[in-house]
Amino acid sequence: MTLGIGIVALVVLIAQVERKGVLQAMLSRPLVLGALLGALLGDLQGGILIGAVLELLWLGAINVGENLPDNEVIGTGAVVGAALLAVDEGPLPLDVATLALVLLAPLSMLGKYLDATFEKRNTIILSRLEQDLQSGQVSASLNLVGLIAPAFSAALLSALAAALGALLISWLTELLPDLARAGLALGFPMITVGSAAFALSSIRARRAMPLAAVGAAVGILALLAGHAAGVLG
Amino acid sequence: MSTSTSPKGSSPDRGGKQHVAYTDRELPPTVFLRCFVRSLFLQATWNSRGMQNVGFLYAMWPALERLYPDGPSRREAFSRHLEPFNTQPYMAEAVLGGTIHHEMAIAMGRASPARVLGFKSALAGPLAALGDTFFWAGLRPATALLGVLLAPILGVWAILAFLVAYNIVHLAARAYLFTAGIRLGDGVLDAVGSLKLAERAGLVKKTAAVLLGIAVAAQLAAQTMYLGYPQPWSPILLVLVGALVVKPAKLLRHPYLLLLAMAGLGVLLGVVGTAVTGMP
Repeated sequence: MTLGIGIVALVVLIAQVERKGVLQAMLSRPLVLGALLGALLGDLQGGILIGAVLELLWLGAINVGENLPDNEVIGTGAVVGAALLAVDEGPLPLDVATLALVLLAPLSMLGKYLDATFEKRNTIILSRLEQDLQSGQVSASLNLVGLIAPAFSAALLSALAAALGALLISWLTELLPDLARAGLALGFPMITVGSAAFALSSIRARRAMPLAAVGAAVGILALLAGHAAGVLG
Repeated sequence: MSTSTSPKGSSPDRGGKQHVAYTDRELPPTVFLRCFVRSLFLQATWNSRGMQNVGFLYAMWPALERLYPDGPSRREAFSRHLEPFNTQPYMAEAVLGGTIHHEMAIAMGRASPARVLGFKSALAGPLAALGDTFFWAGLRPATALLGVLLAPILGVWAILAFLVAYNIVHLAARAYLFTAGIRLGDGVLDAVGSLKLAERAGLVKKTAAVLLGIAVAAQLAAQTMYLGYPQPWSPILLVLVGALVVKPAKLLRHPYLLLLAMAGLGVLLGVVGTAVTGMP
């Protein structure tokens, strides 16, 4: 568990830096982060499964000007970390994934609040740069200082949430009867459906809804064809 | 892009290097490369007063250090680029390249500093709108949904497909806009126009909408197979449930209540279904 928490912290630290401060090559998106955490925590498929749903959930989370989105890096680290750390061995049960999503995805809103706080605090670095310019002893590397506090805060918050979340989920899954766990397992595809509906509302395209319906129809036809060919179960 | 320098005069700096009062047409490619690499850190210290200004100065630094000898002219140049500035980070490459172009002219006494400030403030807003529309609201969702769609079939290779598809466009745009800005200065707007981002954004967003529909069907098929539910009817039924939830989802600012509601509905249906059918 300790090693797992350390892994979550390190991955979130690097992802938080990449998210806005450096490069922004989408290496910190939930789909990528979920896969990475899954690979490092011993369940790549489980990580991709959750990462895909989180990608839908936060598809519209974009930073436009001063409008900050929910922090998907903190949210993904907490959700994927908690789900995978709650399972001792074997493939990820979907009732565990549902609990992790419902309990920890909202943490990303706290992440957004932290981002806003650090962006206000960064004016201190700007003031320092302006003073140094006046005195003639200026170093533009002060720009890199702004990466430190958000990265470490995100890592700490995410790792702590993953650890506490894993303990809570383990306790809940032992407590709950099998019938309830079966219901929670169905909750995962239901959450996927809800996340997709939310993702659709964030795609600002003309006729987005009918186009998505066309896509869904194509998907359904592919499923029917696959079933008829005996490729799908 | 490099040509030889013709020193007019020199003054040693603290490190012992000779800084030449600038007379040449262009900076050497290594300076441009250093500026480009530093531009990747544009938002490292995004702040609520100057926004990207600290990052912009950081990126301009190698060029300004080279163009201006240590002293008042360099301090003045640095101060110019601590003015508030904000745009989409990839499109900022056009502004950065163009700013370097203008600073070379200013350093040679061919333009006034007001010119570069006007250039930056005129481009920031329009480029932000273009970049946000094409990259954040178009390319990113479309390529991410491609990854989500392919993940049940290709696993980790789907993630790589997403990253490659996105970053080929992203990095090519950054490099193109930066070099166009250095070459063309104010003319970088033509280079931006040649990318046709506004027109392409519409097509990319529509592609994203179609991919969303397919991706959801693919994900639900994978999840219901994982759960052992009957195929292909369970994912089809779930897609139809999704159609009912689209309108309520539009009304919500945050998705978490919807998540809770969908999980609760799942629990209810799962409990009832399991109790009725006896299936786990």
